[in-house]
Amino acid sequence: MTELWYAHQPAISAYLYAAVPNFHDAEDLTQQVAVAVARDFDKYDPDTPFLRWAIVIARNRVLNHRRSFAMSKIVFSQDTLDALADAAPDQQPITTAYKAALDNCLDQIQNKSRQALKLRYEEDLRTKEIATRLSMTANAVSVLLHRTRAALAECMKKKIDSET
Amino acid sequence: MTRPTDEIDAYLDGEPTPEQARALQDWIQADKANARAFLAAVRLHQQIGSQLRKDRFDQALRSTDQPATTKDGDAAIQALAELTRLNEEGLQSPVNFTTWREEKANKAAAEHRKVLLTRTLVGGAIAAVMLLGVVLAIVLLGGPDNDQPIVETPVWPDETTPTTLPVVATLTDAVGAQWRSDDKPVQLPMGVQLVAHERLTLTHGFAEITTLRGAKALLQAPCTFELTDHDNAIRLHSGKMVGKCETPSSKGFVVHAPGMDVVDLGTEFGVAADAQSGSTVLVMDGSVRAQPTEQSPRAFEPVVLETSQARRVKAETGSLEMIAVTEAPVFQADLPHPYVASVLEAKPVAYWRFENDTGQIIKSEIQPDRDQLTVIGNAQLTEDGVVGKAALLTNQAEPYAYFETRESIAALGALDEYTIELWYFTNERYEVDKDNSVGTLLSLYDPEQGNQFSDASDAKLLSLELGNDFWVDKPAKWWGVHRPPNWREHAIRCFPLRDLQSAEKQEIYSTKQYLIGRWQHLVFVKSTDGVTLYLDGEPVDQAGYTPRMLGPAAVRLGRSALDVVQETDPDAAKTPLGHGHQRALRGRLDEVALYAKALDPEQIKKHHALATGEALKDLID
Repeated sequence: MTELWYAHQPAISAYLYAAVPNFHDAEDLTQQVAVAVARDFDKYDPDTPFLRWAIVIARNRVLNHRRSFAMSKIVFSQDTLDALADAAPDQQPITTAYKAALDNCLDQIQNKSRQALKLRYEEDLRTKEIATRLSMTANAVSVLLHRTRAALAECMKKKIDSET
Repeated sequence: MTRPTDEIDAYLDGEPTPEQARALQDWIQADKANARAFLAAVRLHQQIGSQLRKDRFDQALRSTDQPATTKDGDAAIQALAELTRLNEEGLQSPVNFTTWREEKANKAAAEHRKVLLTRTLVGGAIAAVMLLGVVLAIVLLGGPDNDQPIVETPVWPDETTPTTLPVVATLTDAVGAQWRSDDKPVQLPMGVQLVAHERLTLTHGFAEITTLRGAKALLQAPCTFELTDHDNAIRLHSGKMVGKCETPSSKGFVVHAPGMDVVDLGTEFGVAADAQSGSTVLVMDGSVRAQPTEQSPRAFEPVVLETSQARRVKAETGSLEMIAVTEAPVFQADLPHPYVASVLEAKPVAYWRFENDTGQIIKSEIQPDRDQLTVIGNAQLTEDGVVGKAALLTNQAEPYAYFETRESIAALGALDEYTIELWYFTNERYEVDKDNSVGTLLSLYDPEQGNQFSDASDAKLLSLELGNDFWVDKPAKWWGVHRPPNWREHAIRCFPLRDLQSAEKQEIYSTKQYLIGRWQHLVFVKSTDGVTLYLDGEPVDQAGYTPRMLGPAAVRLGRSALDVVQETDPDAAKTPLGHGHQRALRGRLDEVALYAKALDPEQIKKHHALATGEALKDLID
């Protein structure tokens, strides 16, 4: 079970983060789903894809916690959650090549782009707070984060393609 | 439905508006592929955070003086847990979190100031001693020979920028932008606020300026403009810009151009200005009102223009005239990819990007009503180009698909210098015993000559091909080619055969094999010294000869001009070419550009770096 969980945890986590945009809520839910999967693993049918089974558990956890989303500015509709749950099992696994490409491409980011990434992801700041720290406008920070993510994705794709 | 990148980013950063949230959900529900794409974006977002936090955790562990022990590890975990708790508290009570962070920051700043002060005092003492030494040296030995001052590009605004003028706009984005103010180069940092009456020139690249009311002006170099004291207007002295007014507050955005004011009524529109010849407006979406300026209020009657309508004001008459959309300048409606910006800056005479969604015509980015490629056969567009979409030629069997201009490229006359630049992708190893022995990337040919030649070496054409190793062992007699000693199998060949001046048979080949399964950048440069082939930014072969292909040339992509010359005139005598139908490319082509000049090696290297992400810092900083 441990191997199955570790192989599919990134996909489950991505679904939860998509459904619950607050990072800490998503982390909490991931832990809860892990406990639920471990507790109910004797009910898992090996003929069913593990990820599909685990996503059902994750979806139910999301529904149970909707009342705690008061912190979020957005709550996805039931139809959207269903669409995401339906697509979640199709996610590609996070491979060693993916992680290595991310690590390598992140290393290449410097200067203000790196500062913005660290403030957003390490300190979980919002764009206005980042703008204050970096003496930029909030709109410029949004643009910078967008361009940095796009450049990272492009860099990673090229690195992964060159390895395959 | 196009990918809602703004909405996805707003969601990932926790700040979507209700409209953005609705649009995002509509997009996710519309197609399972969209849901997958959204999950992939979320996953990357998560993994970035995980990796950065892990790096910080590892760094924190490494920075301790004591060797890492279980106890230290526990302490670090407890510290992170405390940080998480404080972060959560901060989310619930922002004041506490901000106060906590500010206290930490103030303390760190105070420590830093102490260090700076110490360094300044010590450094000042050392500098004083050194200065004394320099003064003594000058007195004893004489002054320096070079009196040229060291000039650094000042950061705008400088001390001469008036500070009492109102802020009316912000620089919100730029690609490859370089600026001048009062005819001196300046640096504009991203997010800089722009004041009224400041006049700036964008000399290179593209830039986006946003007014206080949210209207966006996308400027394309070369362009000179000035902000007015109005919070939703710009004066365009010369150059091109696109106005975008996507929010209710930005409506009424005014562009003052020579001879005409353009007032937005809720749109996207382009304005081109020239103080000598006049101004042109083209409406891409929505509507604008074109009206006379305050200086000439009775020059013409105001008129409302709708989508795909254009008008021009001539400087000498001041009158407004209707023009066809095809007569209007080409406007860049969005900030381009840095690679595209760099190609456009090099001023190609034709540039095909294969971004068209429909139809059998591929337009050139330079002049869309000219130099169009006609699609022959079932060539398609695919999403995985170098930048955006690309041309896909499967060519598993006849009839083969390709693209051609049919007529000559007007700007490619009899030139001493020209450049061909393209990207290709193939999974094919072209072999003579297969039904496809050569993969033609591009042919330039003289459409007037037709097939009026008896030997391929007399054909007025230039062809870039992916070759094979057959010729090493069996030189085909009709080619009459002598292989150079550095010939490699599976190389790229530049094919004409006969030098125009000496009539000797010459070719050039890449000294590297072409690679399969990845995009490669190929550039052919003809200069007054000869020809050079570049592969992935590096020169791979050179020859001091002049190709026979000079003069007006038509373009064929994905198929040799030799093949089709036979097909189009079946009654004419066949040329002894052999392999007549077997020079079709199986693969992809993208970003095909022709220049009426020789690109220099640094420019070629830069193009390759911008497209491959090797210049990641340039891309995002």
